[in-house]
Order: sequence, then C-alpha cells, then structure tokens
Amino acid sequence: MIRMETVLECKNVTKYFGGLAAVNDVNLEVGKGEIVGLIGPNGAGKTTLFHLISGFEKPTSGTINFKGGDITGLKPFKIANKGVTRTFQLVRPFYLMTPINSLVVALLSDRAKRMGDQSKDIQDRAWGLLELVGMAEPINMVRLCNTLPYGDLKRLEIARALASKPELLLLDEPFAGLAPEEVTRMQLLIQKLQKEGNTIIAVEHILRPLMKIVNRVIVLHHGQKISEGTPKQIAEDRQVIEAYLGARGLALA
Amino acid sequence: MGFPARIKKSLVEFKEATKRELIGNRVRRPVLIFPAFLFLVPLIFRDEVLLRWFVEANYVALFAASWDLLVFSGYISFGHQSFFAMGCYTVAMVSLYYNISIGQWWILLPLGALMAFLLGFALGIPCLRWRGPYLILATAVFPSLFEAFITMGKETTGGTEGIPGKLFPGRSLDPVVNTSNFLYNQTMVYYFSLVLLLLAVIFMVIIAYSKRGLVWQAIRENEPAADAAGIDTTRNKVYCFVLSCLFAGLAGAFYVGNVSSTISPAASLRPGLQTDAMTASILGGVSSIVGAVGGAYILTFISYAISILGDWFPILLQLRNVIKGAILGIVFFIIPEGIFRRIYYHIRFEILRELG
Repeated sequence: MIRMETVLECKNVTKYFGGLAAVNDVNLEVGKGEIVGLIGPNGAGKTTLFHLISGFEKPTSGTINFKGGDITGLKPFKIANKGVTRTFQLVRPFYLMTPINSLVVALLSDRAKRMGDQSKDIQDRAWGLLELVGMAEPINMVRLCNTLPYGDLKRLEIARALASKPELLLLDEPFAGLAPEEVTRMQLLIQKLQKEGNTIIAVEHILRPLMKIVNRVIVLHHGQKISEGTPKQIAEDRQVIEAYLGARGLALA
Repeated sequence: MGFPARIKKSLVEFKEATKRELIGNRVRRPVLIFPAFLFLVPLIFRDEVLLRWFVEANYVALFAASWDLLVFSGYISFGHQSFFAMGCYTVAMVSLYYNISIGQWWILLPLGALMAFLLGFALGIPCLRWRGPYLILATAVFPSLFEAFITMGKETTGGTEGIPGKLFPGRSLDPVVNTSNFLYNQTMVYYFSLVLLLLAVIFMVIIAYSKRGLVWQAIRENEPAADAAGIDTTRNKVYCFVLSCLFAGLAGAFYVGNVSSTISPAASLRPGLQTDAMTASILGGVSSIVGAVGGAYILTFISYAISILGDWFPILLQLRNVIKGAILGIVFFIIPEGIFRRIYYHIRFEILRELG
C-alpha cells in the first residue's frame, strides 16, 4: 500500500454513555483521497464515532487529529469550518426552505466563504452544487424541501456537506432507505466525489453497494475495532462473520 | 457550472408572474393597497376614538412584528414584553429625571430601543446557549425578573404604582396641558406611529429576507444541521434575538407618551400584550413579518368590534379574550399557516402551475 498523507487520525478514542462503552479505544487513520467504509452490526458505535469526529459528542478520552491539528471536543461548526463535514443518518433538511436556499445557507459558513470562488454569485455556486449532485432542475429553485423525494433529500444532504469544500466528508448511511436505482446513482456520486479528490468515510449497514466502492473497510463491534482491511479481506474475516452472524455463522457463510 | 441562461429566464418569469398576480388580480389588490389606505385613515374617519384604535393597531403590529422576527430563528419568546417594558421605562425615567425639552422628545425613541437591545444582549448571551423548549421556558421568566427589579427600586421607578403621566414633558395628549408638543393631537400621533411602523417593518423585512434571514430559517428548520454545515448557530441566534428586542423596545418607547398615561409594571409588562402579539402573528402567518402586521390589524379590529358591540351586550367585554381565543382557534384549525401566508402560498402555487 502506498503511504498516503494522513487526513484523520483517531487515537484511543473512547466514549462512555453511563457505564456503557459505545466506542471503546478505537484507533484509526484515514489517508487523503480514500473512501473508508465503517461497518458493524447494530449498536456497534459507528454513528457515535461519527458524532465524536464531527463534534456532536465529546469523547470521554482519546484524541482526534485532523491534518495534524487537534479537533477533539470542538463545537460542530468549528470542526465543519476546519474542513470536516457530515451528513446525517436520518436526513435533516431545512424543510420549509427551497433546495437552492438550503445550499446558499451552507455557502454562508466561514469556510465556504473562504474557499469559494467569490467572483461568482452565491446563487450560481449553489446551483453548481445542485448540478454536482444531479439535482439541477428549475423546480428546485422554487419548491420547498418538504416536497422532495427521499433520494433527493439524501443527495441534498451531501451537497450541503460539500458546500464548504471539505477535506473530509463523513457520510452516515448514504444508501439507507434508497430504491435500487437510487443506490446506483448514489454509488456513482460517491465515486465521482472521490475522483474529485475528496476523502470520504461512509458508515453503512447495507454492505453490498458499499463494498463495491470503498478502498478499505473498518469493522466495529461492541464499540471496538475488530478488523480492518480491503473489502475482500473483510468478507473472509472470521471475526467479522462471527460478529454479524454469531459464533456458528461461519458454517452458514 | 454556473447558472444556465434558461434557468435565469424562468426565474425572471416567475418573479414577473408574481408581480402580475399581485397587482393585476382584483381579489388580491387590497393586500397591496392597504398600506396606502392607512395614510388616508385620519382623513376618512374623523373619529378620535377610532383613530386611537388605529394607533393601538400600529404599536401592537410593531411589537408583533418584532416577536415574529425572533420566530425566524425558530425561537418563541414568552417574555417579549420585558423588552417592551424596557423601552417604556427607559423613556419614562429619562424624561422624568433629565430635563428633556418637549421638542426633543423623539430622541428618546432610539434610546428606548437601544436599552432594550442591550437588555436583550445581556439576557440572550447566557440563555441562547440552550436549545429548544428550555430556551422558551427561560424567556418566560424575564417579565417576572423585570418586575422584581422595578419593585426593588421603588424609590426611583415608582414600584408597582408606576410613574404617573403628568411628570413627563412629551407625553400628555391633552392640548390644554401641553400645547407645544408636536404630538398633541391624535392625527399626528397616528401618522407618527404609522411612519414608525412602516420604517421598522421595511427594515425587518429587508433583514429577514436577506441571506442572514436564510441562516435564521435554517436554524429554525434544523439547528444541528445548520451547525454541521458550519454555521455558528449561537451567534446568529443572539443576533436575531437582539434585533427583535430592539424593535420590541421601540414599540415600548413609542407607547410611552402616546398611548399610556402611566407606566407601571401592570401597564408595560401585561401578558395580554404578549398574547396579542402571538395571536396576531399566528393569525397572519408565523415568521413572515408582514403576516404579523396584518394579523395585528385584524386582531385590533376584532377588539374594536367587541368594544362597539359591548355598548349593547356588556357581557361581550368580559368575554373579550375568550372571543379572541376562539377566533384564533378557528383560524388555526382551518388555515394553520396563517391568513397571509395562505394567500402567498396560493399565489405561488398558481404561478407554478401556470409556468409548468
């Protein structure tokens, strides 16, 4: 494997909710330009780890470094302005706003102002984002987000996260709840984002579409990292199969 | 990337169609003509009492609009009358203790607004770190706090008795007492309140429909999502809050000397004002500013109608709030988005259908 520049580094990250360790002593590194899949059974701590990285929760112990700078426990908007943006597992659109205006808002963040091409009108740039995720239709200038289909909402989330030109994009379950053809569109979109130089971490339950696009997979179980490797290695990993299917699942797999 | 000419064209078309629909449609024309009509009110109705109701409508509208501005960022304040009272007391006390000549009376208006702004700043910074219902609960405490301070400083503030009207120079509406006040007759008071209201509303509309307003809306729609997109939500909420307080204070500052003869906690902190503002805003359509102003007019004229009918049926006067509540309930049930917002959505829908 070629040694890449490390973008994100989690060192011994631990998060306790009461007595329960949701994330337990997790170490991970993500290199520039990678797509990393973060998988694991229900309650494995994937989303909690996302919350820790994006600042929605503070880790009990451990540090999170982004491009060498410590971002542990910073407020979400500060982390976003450093270049780590995220989408949510359940979409969080601005329901009573138009899609284009939701993106204009995202373009008003400090980082987006700094990184954006100031010679262009902010509406033009918002339109560019809509084009990027394949939603550039005139109707999206006037209708409200509460009339959008679910797949569009998911893509709008990604567009909003891309507004500040992040260096690390955290996608929380990008395929959940999508129809098969929408899954394919989402796959193509994520691959396109990688080609444009984005680093991506994706949490996912639905393994099939994810495994096709990721470079590396990290498996969490009961808050701990139990395995890491290429999709092929993971699919054959004994521990992973046990985690998903139980101890006797090996026979089934 | 960038805006294709085709899209720009359809946007322009949309805007033109909106204009056409608003000006050309017979049913909707009154919405635009209403502000012009307001300027003619004193010429049409020569009735002092009715004019007084119009003045009432204007300051309630201003207060309702300021409350509505706060709702843009998604927060409902149950204690907004404290900022109104701050405006009242600032004007009342400054004119009581400093020798403000009658001609300079209007200088006190921005001062009242400024003090409400500062109070909003002081209360907003600690409180706006909370989210959701906790913040709303916190705002409900403000009036009690304010009243406690007024009662504590009885010697200077007049305590629960209040500051009687005759003490300030610019306040008396009675031309015999105060002939040199330029606001001495009801017509002037009316025009003054109307201009004040229009300027404030234009300013609020410009801000609320700017990019800053979009950020507030985003916070209202989903605060964590706005946060994740890199928006400093606390700072933006404080900004919205203090602006809202500023206009509430302006309404309060106007109230002194033009409407009320005594400034006491009972007059300036009354919950009725708060509920009136909320009712007006809900009637017209929450977080639209213009809706709140329209709602305030509707509400004030319901009150007026009740007071007229009260001459024959005194029971109506006692049931005043019940009737207002019932009307609010009915409107809320039939058109939850508010009267003026419904009109707006209707126009928008028709244009979209027309343009395809």
